[in-house]
Amino acid sequence: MTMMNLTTENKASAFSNMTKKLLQSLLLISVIGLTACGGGGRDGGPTYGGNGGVVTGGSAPTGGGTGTVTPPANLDAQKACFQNSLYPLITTPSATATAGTNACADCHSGNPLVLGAPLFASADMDVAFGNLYNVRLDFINPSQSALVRRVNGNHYPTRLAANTADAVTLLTTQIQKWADDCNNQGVQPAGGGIFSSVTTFSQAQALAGGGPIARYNARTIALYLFEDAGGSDGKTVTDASVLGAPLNLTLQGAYTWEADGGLTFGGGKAVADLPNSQKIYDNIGGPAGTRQYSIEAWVKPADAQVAAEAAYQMITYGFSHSSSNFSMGQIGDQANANAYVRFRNRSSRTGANGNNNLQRTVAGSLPNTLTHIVMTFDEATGRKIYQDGNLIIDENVAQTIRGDATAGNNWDNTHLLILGNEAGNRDLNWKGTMRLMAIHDVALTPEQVKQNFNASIGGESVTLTFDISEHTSIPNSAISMVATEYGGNAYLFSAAQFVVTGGTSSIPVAENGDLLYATNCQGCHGAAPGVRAGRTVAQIQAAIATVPTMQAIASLQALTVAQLTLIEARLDPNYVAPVDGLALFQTNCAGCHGPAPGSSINGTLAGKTVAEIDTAIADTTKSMNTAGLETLTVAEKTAISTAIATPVQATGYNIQFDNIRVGVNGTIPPVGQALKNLSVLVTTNNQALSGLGVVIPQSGGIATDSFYLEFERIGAKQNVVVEANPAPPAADNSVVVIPVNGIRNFDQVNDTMSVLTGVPKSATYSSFLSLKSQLPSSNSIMTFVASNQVVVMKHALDYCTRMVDDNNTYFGTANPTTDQIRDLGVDAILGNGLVSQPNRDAVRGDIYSLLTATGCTSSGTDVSGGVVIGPLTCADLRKAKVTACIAVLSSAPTTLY
Amino acid sequence: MVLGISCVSFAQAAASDQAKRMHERLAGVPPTDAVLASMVSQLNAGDGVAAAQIAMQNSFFYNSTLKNFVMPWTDSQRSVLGDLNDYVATVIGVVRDDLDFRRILYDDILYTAAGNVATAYSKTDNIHYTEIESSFIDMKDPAQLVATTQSSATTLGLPAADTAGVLTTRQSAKAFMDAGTNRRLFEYTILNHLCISIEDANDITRTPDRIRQDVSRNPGGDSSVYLNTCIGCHTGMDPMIQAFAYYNYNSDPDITAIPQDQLVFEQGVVQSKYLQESGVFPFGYVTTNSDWENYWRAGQNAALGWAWKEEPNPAVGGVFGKGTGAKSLGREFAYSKAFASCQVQKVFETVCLRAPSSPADRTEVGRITDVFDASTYNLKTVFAETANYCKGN
Repeated sequence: MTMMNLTTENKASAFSNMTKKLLQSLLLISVIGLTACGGGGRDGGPTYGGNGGVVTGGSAPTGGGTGTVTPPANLDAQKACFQNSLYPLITTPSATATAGTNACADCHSGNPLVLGAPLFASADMDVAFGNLYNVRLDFINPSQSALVRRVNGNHYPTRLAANTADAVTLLTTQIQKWADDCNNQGVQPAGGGIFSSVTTFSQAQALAGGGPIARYNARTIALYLFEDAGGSDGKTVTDASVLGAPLNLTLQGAYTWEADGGLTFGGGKAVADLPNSQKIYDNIGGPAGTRQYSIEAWVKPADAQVAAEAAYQMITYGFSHSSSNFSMGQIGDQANANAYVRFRNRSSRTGANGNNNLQRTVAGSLPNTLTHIVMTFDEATGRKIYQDGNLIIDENVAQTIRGDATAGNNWDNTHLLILGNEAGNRDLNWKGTMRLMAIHDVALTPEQVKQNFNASIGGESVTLTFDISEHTSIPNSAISMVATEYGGNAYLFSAAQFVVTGGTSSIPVAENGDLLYATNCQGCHGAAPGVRAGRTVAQIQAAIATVPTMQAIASLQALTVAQLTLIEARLDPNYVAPVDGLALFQTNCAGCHGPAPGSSINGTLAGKTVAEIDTAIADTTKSMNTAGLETLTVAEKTAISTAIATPVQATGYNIQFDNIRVGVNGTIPPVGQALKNLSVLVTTNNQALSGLGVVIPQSGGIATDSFYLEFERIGAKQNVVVEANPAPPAADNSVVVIPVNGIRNFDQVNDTMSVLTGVPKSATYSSFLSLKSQLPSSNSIMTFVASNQVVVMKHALDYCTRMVDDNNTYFGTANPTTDQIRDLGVDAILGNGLVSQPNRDAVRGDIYSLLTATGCTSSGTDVSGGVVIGPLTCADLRKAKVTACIAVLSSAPTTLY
Repeated sequence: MVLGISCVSFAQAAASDQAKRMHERLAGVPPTDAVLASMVSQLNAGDGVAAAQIAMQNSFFYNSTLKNFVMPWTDSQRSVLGDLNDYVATVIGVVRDDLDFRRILYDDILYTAAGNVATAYSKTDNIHYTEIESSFIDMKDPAQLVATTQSSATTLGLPAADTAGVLTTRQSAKAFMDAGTNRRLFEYTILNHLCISIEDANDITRTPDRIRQDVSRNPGGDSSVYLNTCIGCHTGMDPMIQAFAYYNYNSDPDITAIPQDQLVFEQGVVQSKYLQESGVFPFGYVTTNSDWENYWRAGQNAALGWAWKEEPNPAVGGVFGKGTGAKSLGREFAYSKAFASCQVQKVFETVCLRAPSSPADRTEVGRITDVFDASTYNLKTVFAETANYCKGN
C-alpha cells in the first residue's frame, strides 16, 4: 500500500481519506480472514507488541497495520528532479515571454554579480539548487511556494510567460512534477493510530517566506553559518544573509574547518574587502544608517590564548588598533580561568577605537564551551551584552555614532570587517571556534536575543505545524513545534503548542449600537439617545474629524462606517435593542454543544439555519425535543443562526492529549521521544503542551525528511500503544575455570598471624597500618605479587619477635626449645591430619635444614617419617626461634586458603 | 574391615579439610581444634550449613570478613582499604542481628558503638568509627555495637520518613553526594546492590522526559552520542535519583552556603546541584520536587525483577515503581529480585573466591536466592549456604 502522492491542497482532508481507505483495507483483510495485521508492529519501529488498543469514538482502527513507506529521494536524486523540472523553466528563454529575456537568469544567475541574490537561476546547477531547495519551495502545496507567490505578486512574470497567471501555472506545474518525481509530498505513517498531518522543513519555510524563521533575521545584514568548509577554495566564508550584497570574507593564516560545522581560528583571520564592508557602514553608521546594531556569535574559545596579550579580538570592524567602529573581544582565557567578553563601540562617549570598555569583569564568566554572545547598541541607551540569552551588562548611557563635533568619535566608512583578529600591525588574534556569526542593523530586543539563543546553531530551524483538525473537530487546529536541525545528525523539536489558526482568545462580543455607544460616546454625552438623538453617520464623522477632544481619541478615529451606522441607529429615538444571538446561544445551546460554535467535539453548529434548528428541536429522537427549546421565537432563532453563521473559536477547549511521539518518514524513532509520557489537558488556544525538547535522529536530512506526530489520545480518541514484554535474557552456559584457592587479604593475614602466634593485633597495629596497603588487598590468587610476599614476611617478623620475646605468655615456660617453637608453629598452622596441607614431617625437616644452614648445629639423630628433624643446638637461640617462626608464619599455609 | 576403617578415615580427613576451608573462608583465620571438631561433627551429620553457622560465631567474621565485604560499597573507588564507617557498621549490625537485609536500603537504622570509644557519633566526621576499629571493638558483641536510628538527635537527626538505610548514612553522602549531581549515588547503588553497572543497564528506548537540563543532547557536536549512549543511562537514572533532590554533601570549605562535611537534608528544597547548568539544554527537565519514577520497570531492565514477591500494599510500605523521597526508592531497590540475587552473588564471590562461573554455580546462586527470600532475607543464611556449596570435596 503506497501512501504517497497527495495531490489535494487540503492535506488534513486527504489524510482523513487515506485513513479511511486504510481502515477499509484492514476491514476487508479481516473479513476474508487474511490475518496480516494482528499486533504486527510498524515498519522499522520499536518492538511494540502491536498498535491496537482501545478506540472510542475515533476513526483509528483497532489492530496493527502495515503499509509501504516510500521516503523522499536523496539529495542527488533531488538535483536530478530539479534539472528535469523547474531548472529549465527558470533558466531558458520562453517563446511566450517578453522577447530577449532569459527567464529568471537575467537577474538571478549571478552574472553580472551585482544583480539578484538569491542565485537560484545560476548557470551552475548546484548553486541554483542550493538557493532554491528547502527555502523557496512547498512541495505539498506547490502554489504556496515562495517562488510562486513572488511571481504571483507581479515580480517580472512576463519573463516566464505572457502573463502572471500563465507564469504561476508554469511554475506550479514544474514544482509539482519535481514533487511527483522525487516523492516529496510527505510520507504518510503506516498502520492504525492517531496521526497528525505530515509536514516538512521546506513546507514550513515556504509558508514563512523562506529562511530559518526560528531565528530573528528580519534585519540581518551579515550571517555566517560556517557550513560549507570555505567553498571551492576553502578560504571563503560565505554570507548567508538576504539583505543587500553578500558580505563574504576571505581567510588568511591558520584556521580549520570543523567536520560538523564551524570554523576554528588558530591564529588566522577572515577579512572582508572594503567595498563589501561598506555595507555595514551604510546600514548602521552612515547617513541613512539605523544608528543601532547587534553583533551576534556562537563561540567556543580555545583553552589558552596568547598569554602576552591583553585582549583577543573575535570580531572587529576597524582599520587599525587605534581605529575601529566596533569590536567583540575576549579578555583572559580558560587556562587561567579568567576569561570574559568585552564590547567596544566608537561613539561620542569614546575615542576612535571605542576605548570605553563594556565588560562584565567576572573572571571565568566566558567558558570554553559553546556560548551565545550578543552585543547590541542603540544611541538612546548605549551598549548591552547578552550571554546565552541573558543580559549580563547594560551601559544605559545615551551617545551617538554620527554627527559628533569630534570627527574621530563618528563611525568611519573605511573600515573592514574581520573575524579572529583586528586590522593593522597589532596582532590580537583570537583562538577558538565560531559556529555562527551575524550582524543586524537593529538592536535586538531581549526577546529576539532569547529567540536566537533558543534557535541554537543547528542551522535550519522552523516552526512545523501538525494539523489535527480531523481528531479535534476544530477547524485549523494543530500542534506547532519549533524544529531545529540539531548537531548535524539530529532534530530538536521544542515548544510544543496547541494552536487554532484564526482562533481567538475569547468569545468576541457581537457588535451592537448599545455597546458601541456605551463604549465610545456615553462618557461625554450621557445615556443614549440623550442630547445626541438623531445624529447621522455624517454628523458623527464630522465631529470626530473636527472636535479637538474627539480628534485626540484614537479609538474614535478607528471607528468604521459600519460601527458608526450602528451608533446612528442607537441614537434613533425609536431604537429597539436587537436580540443578542450569541447570548441566546450560550444560554440555550452551549450546555450540550460547547461554549462556542466550532469549539466543541460534540458537533459543529456553524452555518445552521433557522429551519435546521427547528427540525432538530422537532426531532423526538433527540434530547433537544424535550429541552424546552420550542419556546424560542423565530426572531431569537434567527439571531442564534446569525450569531453562529461564522465558526468562532474560543477559550474553553477541553481536549486531553496523551503520549505524543514524533515520526520521521513514516516511522516513529524509538529513541529520544521526550513527549511519550506527556499528559496534558488543553483548555485554551496557544497553550503550551510542554517545555521539553525532543531530540531524535535524522533520517535522510532536512532536504528529504518529513514529519508527523502520533498520539495515544486526543480528546475521546484513544489508541494505546502497548509495549511488548522484553525477551528474557539468554541463559549463560559459559564455564570459566578459576583457581579454587585464594590469598588471604591484609586483614586476614593480620588476623591469622595474631591467632597463630597469640600476639594481640593491638601490639602490631601501628606497623600493620603502615603495611596494610602493601599486603594483598584481594582474595584472588591471580593478584598476588612478589612484593606482597616480602611484606607478609616483614609483618611475620613483627609477630614472631614479639612471640619469641614473651616466652612465658605463649609457651608457658621461659626457655622453650627451638624444637618446641618449630613444632608449635608447624602444628598450629598446618593443622593435624589435613590432606590439603603440606606433609608435617617434611616441613619440620625443611625448618631443620634452614636452621642448620644459619648457624645451628645438629647431632642429626632425631628422625621422623624418614626426615631428620633434630636435635638442634643454636648459639643465638633468639635468632633461631624467630627464623623458624617467620619461615612458617609467612609460608603458603598462612597466606593461601 | 580394613577397607571399612580406611573409608571412615578418609571421610574424616575430607570433613576436616572441608571444615577448615569453610572456617577460613567465613572467618579468614584457621579454626581452633575444638571448633574444627565441632564443625566436622556437623559435616559428618550431613549438615554443612550448621557447620558454617559455627564458623560464623568467630568474631573475625564480623570484624574482618563482613567489614571487607561491605567496605567497597561505601566508596566510589570501591576500595577495600577504607576506614570503618557508619555505612559498613550498619550493615554488619543488620547481619549480626539477623534482621531483614532489605532494611539496609530503606530503614531508619544505624549502628554505633555503645559508648566504649572516646568519641561519640558525629554527623561531621568519622572519628567514632575509626576509633571502633583502632580500639578493636568486637562488633560481634551486641553490647559493644548497638542499633540506633538516623533520626536520633544524637546521630544524623534526619526526619524518620526521609531516612533510607545506608543510602542516607554520612559515609554514603560523603562518597556519593559530594559536589556532582547525586547521580553518582544512583550509579553506585545499582552497582553495589543490584549488581548491574550503569553501562549494562543502558536502555535507549525509555522515555527521556526526565533528563535534566545539564545533560548535553549534542556532546562534542554529535547528537548521535547522546542518542546512542548518554540517553540510555540518563532515562532511567535521572527520574529515579530525583528521590534525593533534597540531599547534599559539601566538603569544600570555600562553599559556605552548604554546611560542610555532613549529610545535608532540606525538606522541600531542591538542591542547586539538580538545577545547575540549565543552559546546556534549556528544553530538559527541571526538578521541582523529590518525586521519582522507575522507567526501568519496562524494557530490558524489567529483567531485574522489580517488586519481586512483594504485594504492593501501602499499609506495609509497598513498592509501586514511583514515589516521593529516598525511602520509597530504597524500597523499590530492596524489593527487587536483583537485590536478593546480588547479595547472593557478592557472598558467593567472597566465600567461593570467584564469581559464579559455571551453569552449576549459577543454578546454586538461584537456589540460594530463593533460600534468602524464604529466610526473610537473613544474610548469614546466605553465607552458610554458600560456604557449604564451596566447601570442596
